[in-house]
Amino acid sequence: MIYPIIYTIQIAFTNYGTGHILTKIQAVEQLEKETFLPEDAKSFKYEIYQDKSGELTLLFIDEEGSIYKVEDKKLVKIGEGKIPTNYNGYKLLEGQKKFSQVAKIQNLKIELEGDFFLQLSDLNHFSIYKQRYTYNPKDDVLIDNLTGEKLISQSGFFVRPNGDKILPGFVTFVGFENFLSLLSDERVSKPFLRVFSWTLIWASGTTFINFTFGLFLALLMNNKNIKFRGIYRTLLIVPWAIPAFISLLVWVGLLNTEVGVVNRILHSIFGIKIPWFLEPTWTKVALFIVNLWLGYPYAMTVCLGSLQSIPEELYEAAKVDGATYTQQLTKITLPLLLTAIGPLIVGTFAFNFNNFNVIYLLTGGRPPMQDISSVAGTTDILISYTYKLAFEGGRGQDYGLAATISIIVFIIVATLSIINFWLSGMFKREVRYE
Amino acid sequence: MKKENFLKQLPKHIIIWVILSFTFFPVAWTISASLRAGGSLVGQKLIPDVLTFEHYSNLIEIGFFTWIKNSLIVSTTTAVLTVFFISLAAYAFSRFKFWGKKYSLITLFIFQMFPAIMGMVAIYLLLFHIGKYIPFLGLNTLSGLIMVYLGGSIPYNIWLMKGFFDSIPESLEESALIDGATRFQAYYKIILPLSTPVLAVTAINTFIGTYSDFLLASIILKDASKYTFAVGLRNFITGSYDVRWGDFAAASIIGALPIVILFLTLQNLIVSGLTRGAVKE
Repeated sequence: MIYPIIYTIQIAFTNYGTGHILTKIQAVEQLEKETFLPEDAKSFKYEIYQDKSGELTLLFIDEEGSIYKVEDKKLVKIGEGKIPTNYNGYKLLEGQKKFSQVAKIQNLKIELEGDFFLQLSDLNHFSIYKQRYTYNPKDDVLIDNLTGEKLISQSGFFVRPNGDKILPGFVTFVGFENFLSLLSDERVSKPFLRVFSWTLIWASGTTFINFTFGLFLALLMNNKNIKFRGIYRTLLIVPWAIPAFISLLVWVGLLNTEVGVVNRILHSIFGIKIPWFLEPTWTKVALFIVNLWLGYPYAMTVCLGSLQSIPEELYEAAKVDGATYTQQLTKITLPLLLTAIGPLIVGTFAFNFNNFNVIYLLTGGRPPMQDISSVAGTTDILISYTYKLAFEGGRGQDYGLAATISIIVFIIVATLSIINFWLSGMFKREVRYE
Repeated sequence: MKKENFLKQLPKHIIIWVILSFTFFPVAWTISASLRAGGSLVGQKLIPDVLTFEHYSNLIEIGFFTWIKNSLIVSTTTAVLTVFFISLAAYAFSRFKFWGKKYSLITLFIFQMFPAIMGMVAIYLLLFHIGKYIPFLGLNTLSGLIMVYLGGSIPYNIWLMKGFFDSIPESLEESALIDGATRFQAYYKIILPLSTPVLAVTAINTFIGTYSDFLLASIILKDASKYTFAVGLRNFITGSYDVRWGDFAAASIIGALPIVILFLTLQNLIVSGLTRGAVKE
């Protein structure tokens, strides 16, 4: 429970992502396995021997005809001249048999003293390779034994003096770099700010629309004399009962621009086809409509509940004083209602702020931004942007940045919730109409 | 008199009917698609020319029952375990005095604002690392997914249940304790039976919430055989609306029906749980 939170915060300060998956130690280990062939490298012919259990062993022959084996990381001379057909119970493999085993030894690295390795250099020869990189933990530098350069570790890579980075990189703490790049690095900040402002418009817009509509319906239904009231109420909350992901997928089909039912109806009546999901403005309209469909039952239920708790006497008193319906609505109903459901409105705002399902399943963030190349689309909100950064980044995954945005979202939502808590606490004391 | 009343209300009824038609627009078209011959969105009419159940019989082929089975396993286990753990924890928070109680409650309250959805990166990496040591809790396992859901459902539900336990008078247990009952007996024999409603609300909410979750399931589950209904249905239909519409509609209806029935029968219970706070106690 707590772990994901701490872990998210930790990742936010790192560069975790594609190319930066390994820890520094793992990256060094991997780099230290790399070898190179020095110019004066000694090379050997080789013979493969096999014993009855199928195990292989190798003997090496230098240009003078001396025969060597490898023992304790050293080349040990065991003979000269003619190549033995039997050696310590191993049998020499000849011709075709020899080369059929080459696949097994082609990645073989026989370690020798002093960071040297015996490796296959061509089909017929083994040569003495040298280890390419040596890590010096004291100075935190990686030494390139080929060029003699000292590579310093910098923001997740080992970097050559000329600025070239070598792969693989590693995870490192980058401090506030992710946060700063949201503000200063244009490639990151431009899409981020755009997504952020759409998130605000989306959350406040859809909350406002849903509650206005819900309140209207509640006022309509808040009359004990109305017929079929119970049935209406049950029917009207059906969208709430259907799992949202199903309704959303259905809506995607219905709003399909070419073959969708909605457009066919509009086409037959008005002769128009609306480019839902193709054009940013209409996509946003579609989002608001669908989320109204999904969200009004909740708003209605909440409003209805609190309307019913407003005592009748208030209205009777108002009537005696000669108040009109509009006056009763604006002077009694709305103020009392808003104080009661205020926290829930804030809650709905917070919910829609993070309403991943609607955005991701309905539009997937499409249509893409025309002028900025980014994984973010015009209808992406922060949470779906985060998801894309972390799990489907076209240019590799960036867990660090994703976690950073998560934290910003958390701060916003947490602030809202605290305001909410404070509001409802206040109201508990203020609204006592009994 | 009554007739006059109805006439006066007629405009209201008309408005409600208009809204109802908006409400049932997608529902009606989905039902119609599921019963119509041919799978395409093209040329669909609200009342199909030829009625057929072929889309329903196709459901086995498309793996629908595997998804439902996985969803039921995950949702039921999560709901049962949530109720079990939460009721114990909430009981402790409600009845015992211990060091740090107030602060753990406040911490839980703050954590509740950090929904699992925002920790998705961490959750993914966490399961990735856990999976290396404990394979059955790693990525692409149902048990791993259940573990994630359990973690996410703790804080809110503890608050909900603690509130309910607080409203049960403590004198009931005290008399039981005097009669020689152990603490656990008091909890098991007195508190639990009295709190059936809140236990039911927690279980049903958790069940529905888990059943409807798409995000976490889509991050964690990779194999088609492990898909839950949400992930499976989405992957089935994306990009294929023109050919798979009919099968999709049938799957949606069968998959949604149990939840809709559950929700509507228990609507008062669920609604009061979800809108708690709207009407001040």
